[in-house]
Amino acid sequence: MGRCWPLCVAVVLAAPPIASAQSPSELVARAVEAYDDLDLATAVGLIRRALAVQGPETLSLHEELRALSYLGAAEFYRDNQDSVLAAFQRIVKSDPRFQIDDLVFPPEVTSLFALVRRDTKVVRAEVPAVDRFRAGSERWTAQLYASSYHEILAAVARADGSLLRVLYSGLIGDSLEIYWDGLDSARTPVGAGRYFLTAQSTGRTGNVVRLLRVPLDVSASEIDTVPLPPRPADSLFLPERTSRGPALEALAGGVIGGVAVALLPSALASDTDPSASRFLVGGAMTIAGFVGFFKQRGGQPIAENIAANEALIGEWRLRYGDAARRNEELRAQVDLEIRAGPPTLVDLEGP
Amino acid sequence: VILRRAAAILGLLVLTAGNVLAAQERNRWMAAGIVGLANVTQSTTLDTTKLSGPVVGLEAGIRFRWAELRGRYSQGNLDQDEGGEGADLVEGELMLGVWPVKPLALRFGPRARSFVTPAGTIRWVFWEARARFEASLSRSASVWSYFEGWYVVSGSVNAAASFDNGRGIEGGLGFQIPSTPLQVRAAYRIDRGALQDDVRTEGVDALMLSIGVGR
Repeated sequence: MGRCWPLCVAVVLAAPPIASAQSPSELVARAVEAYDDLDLATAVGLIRRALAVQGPETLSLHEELRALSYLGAAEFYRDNQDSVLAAFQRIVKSDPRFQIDDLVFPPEVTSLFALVRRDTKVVRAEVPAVDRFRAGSERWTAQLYASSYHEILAAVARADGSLLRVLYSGLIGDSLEIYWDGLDSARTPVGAGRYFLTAQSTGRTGNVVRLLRVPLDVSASEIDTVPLPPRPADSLFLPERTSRGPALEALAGGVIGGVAVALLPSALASDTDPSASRFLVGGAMTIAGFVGFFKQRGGQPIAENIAANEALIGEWRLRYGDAARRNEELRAQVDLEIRAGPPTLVDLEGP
Repeated sequence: VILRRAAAILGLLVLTAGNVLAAQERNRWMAAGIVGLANVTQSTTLDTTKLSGPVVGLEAGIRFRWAELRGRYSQGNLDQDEGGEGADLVEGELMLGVWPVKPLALRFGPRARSFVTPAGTIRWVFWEARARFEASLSRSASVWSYFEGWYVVSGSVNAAASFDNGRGIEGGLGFQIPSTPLQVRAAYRIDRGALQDDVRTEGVDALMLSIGVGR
């Protein structure tokens, strides 16, 4: 017995690994074989198992649509109408332009699929993953594909759902190219942020039945605007009205000086006989002081200063206007970069 | 004594100048001719003599920011009011000044006065400290008034008695003709000097008109 152990270990190690769980693709392949063998229940079961797999091994879109085609056909022959509709609607919502293979499936299945496709109003959007363009003068392009002829409203919306700019409102047949110049409804370049390309599909009753939302992350280039000239400093403005200072200076200098000249000599040189000319000079000084006071008393408008200030402010307004206009031109030349995210489809139609 | 007082006054002026506003008014200058009418009252313990007559002279000054230098010279032949002998009056001064604030100037310097008579010459020398207030009477500063008072900090006279005290004032109106450098000024001045115990006092007042140029 003791000599058997190495042999047993060797046999175990050399044996092929036990088959793990089959991949979704293999499940679909086995389902197709079962469908061809008319083992419809097995086919349905395998496909549902394959579609239920999540994670890295999940089916590609093409594989998924093919699997759904087989699922729909198998349910058709199993007479499960609701399951057929569900499978085919899922195909249409995933890819409105998908056609089931009429070489594989019989006409009654393909015609039913066509009916489902006609009645399932939905659009799919193809947008560049990253695009750069100049707002206003260039444009961003998206391609819309419709399941069938119906009315849509395509727009760019803000993150809160409010419409920023309607891009198209009307009927769509097979496909439609829509454009956005990066401006909002006020013809202003949008700022950086998250926006959404939305496409509302309207049903036969006029109600919105589906809403496609494609997130758009918009970044705007830095704008080198010219600085607005600051208002001239207060120190540059001349006083527009006279102040009291000069008037008081004139009053003090004239009147006090005049009185001093007239009266002080007697006190200064009492033993002298000051001449009367002191009254002439002192009187003239006093009168001149009063005249200077009244001519310069505060509140009088200074016309030349007012004109100089108006010229100063007018020149500033001109420069400010020029700079503001230049900035408007520069802001209209915003370069936008749009990164599109994965679309989501909101089904607004009741079950 | 004179030198000590002069040094003290000069020191005061320099200290004041150190605190003046950094940028005072623009630099200025003036030069003018003077005509005037002078009245002199000379009193001694014995009598009083009055003389009067015209004087003429020159004055000039320059101001650089807050510092200035001014000089004046005048002379005239005076007649005795009561018909006695006349005298020649010769007067000169040189003042150094500063403007610590815009309307106020402080000055210091010597002033000399001589009375020349056939009997001899009496010469006074005053070292004066002055304060001058100058006010603009019009917005364009083309009319101004000024008042100046001074005190003699030290003096001498060529007489038997020594100098005792002296003081004076001057006030007037100036007018600069617009757009020209022409200046006209009318002023009244009076000063008094006295010897010890008032053995002799001398008062001079004058009405002066000066016409010149300046900025």
